Amino acid sequence: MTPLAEMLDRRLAGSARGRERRQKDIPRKRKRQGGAFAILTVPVIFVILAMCGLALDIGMVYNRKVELHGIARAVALAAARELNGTTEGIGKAIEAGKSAAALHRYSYGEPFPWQDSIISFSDSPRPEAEWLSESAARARPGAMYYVKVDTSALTNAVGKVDTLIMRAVLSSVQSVVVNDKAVAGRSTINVAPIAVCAMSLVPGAERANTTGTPELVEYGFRRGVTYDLMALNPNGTSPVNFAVDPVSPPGGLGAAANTSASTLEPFVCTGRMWIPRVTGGPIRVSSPFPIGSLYHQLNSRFDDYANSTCNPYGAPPDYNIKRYAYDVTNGITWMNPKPGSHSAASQVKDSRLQTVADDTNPPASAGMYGPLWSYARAVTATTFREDVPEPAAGYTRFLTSDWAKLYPSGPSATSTSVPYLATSGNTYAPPRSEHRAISELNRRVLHIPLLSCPVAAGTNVGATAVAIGKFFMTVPATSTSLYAEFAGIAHESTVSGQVTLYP
Amino acid sequence: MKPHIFSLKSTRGSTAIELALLLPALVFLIFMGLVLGRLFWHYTVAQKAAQDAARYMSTISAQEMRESALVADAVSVARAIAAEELADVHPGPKAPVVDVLCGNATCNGVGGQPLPGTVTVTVQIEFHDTSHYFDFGRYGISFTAASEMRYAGN
Repeated sequence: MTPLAEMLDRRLAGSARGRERRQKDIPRKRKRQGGAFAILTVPVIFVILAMCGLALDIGMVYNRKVELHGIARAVALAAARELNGTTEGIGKAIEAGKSAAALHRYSYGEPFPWQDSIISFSDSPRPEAEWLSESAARARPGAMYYVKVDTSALTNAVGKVDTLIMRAVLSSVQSVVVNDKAVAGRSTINVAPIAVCAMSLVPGAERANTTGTPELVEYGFRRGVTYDLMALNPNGTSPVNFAVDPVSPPGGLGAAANTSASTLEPFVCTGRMWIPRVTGGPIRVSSPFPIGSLYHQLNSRFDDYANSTCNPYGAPPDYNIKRYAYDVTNGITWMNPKPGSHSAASQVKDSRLQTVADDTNPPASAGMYGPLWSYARAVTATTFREDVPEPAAGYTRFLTSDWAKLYPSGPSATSTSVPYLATSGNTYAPPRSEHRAISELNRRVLHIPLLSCPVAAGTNVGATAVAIGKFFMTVPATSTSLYAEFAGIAHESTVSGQVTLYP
Repeated sequence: MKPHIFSLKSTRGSTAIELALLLPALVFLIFMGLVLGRLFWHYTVAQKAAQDAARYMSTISAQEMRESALVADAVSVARAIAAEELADVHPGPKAPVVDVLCGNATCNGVGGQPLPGTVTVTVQIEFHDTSHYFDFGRYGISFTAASEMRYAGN
């Protein structure tokens, strides 16, 4: 054998041995790999389960969050609608919230367990504002305009979501607690964008009369007396009246264009402004009020929609559109003698433009008092308390038999009933038949800010509203006059308009 | 060599068998997680859609609620709000159904009648597994998200 052949033989023999060795090794390795996949599967399944569990548990947490979010908002909106500045309003808000909550389910069908403690009240929608419990809010209901619903106040853990799988992975995550809050409150106010000066800054003054029981005079106005709101001025002899910026809340900068007649038109139609309140800061006003351009809109309350864009559905007529006019037959049937004008006669005294009814001396004739008590009656000052809203039953009213004492040298009453509240007869006139169903009681009552005067002349100036007066339109307005009987002061919380949810 | 050959034969393909046995379980777990996750997601979106649409309807003006044409517009806006939110989900072959009620009746404008006390928006979803791993039947998993809110318009 040649050396080369020997070398090849050795190599071949060696490779054969190597092949045998490798063939021996293969089954050994295979034996070691057997079951490796199954072993690997265990942690893989564990990881997959954990991931799935995380997804499912977080899904349930999100579901609960959304459920509570919806419940909180529904309860807040329902409750805020009821706030009217009284303790009864607070109670109604709680009941409305409870009813709204009963319509909702959580945890895939469970009834919501109501507790009064989830509702709190405030005079501001700000989160950092002072939020009062029901009992605390009842103590001062007049300032409560906003409702907050916080589901975390529930003692039974409605927001607690027990985890299904995460607890097996992380023992510290046995459950997740979620809650939600919602704030709701007014966004509009049922106040017309017309303002006049308060004839006095005294909220409640006593006017002496011969009965010994003084009459209440609120900010210089007497209940039951009709004024021409376009002919008053406590600080001068020329009339002053104002258009209120209907979209700039107190403290805002306003804009001159906001008080143009075209801008004001829809607000005059509805008697509502897009601001939550008129107190708490200076409102923006322009003078004078453009009565010549907007008296048609005011007269929509008398079912008269001519020459205006007022719509009966948005600005419905009053249920009683009888014009209590002195100069028509059966216009005023409850007074003797009949008045000689649509309002108490104007009078300039002590550099004030007022009416003869405001004077301490009787007028020259009975007719100068104008229409009396078509809607509101004079009240006594004995039960008046400043900063306390008028009771639901009202202050103690005088009787028609007291007219001689209240209105010396004036007319006498021929009827004891309230003319406006009639449903038939000479003091009642219904709107046209197609509008009768949508007519509303008290649409003829204008809520008008009473300003602290003097107010600078011009457009878009700041003015402070000291109160909101209620004025009942006795006859349709004209291009120069707005005749209305004073009917008292409306607490701001009682003229809440639209409520809305705050972010 | 025979024992070696026998041993080789006995282990060859064992991993494939293990994989074949375990793969369905793994896929099932993965798909189950995905499907349930999708189901919860659909539930959340449906709830939000119903709530947001109901919230809009609850604050429309009284004038809109009275006039048939205006309330029809408002309902279409409410449906659009819900549809916009539901566009993110794909429950299956049938599109979600959105119903809007004013009180207990269809919103047709109440005219001179009293305004409704509540408004309700319901979103009905038939949920199917779009990956077709699970068959939930012809109508899928049907669920309804409803939001009834106090009408607060003025």
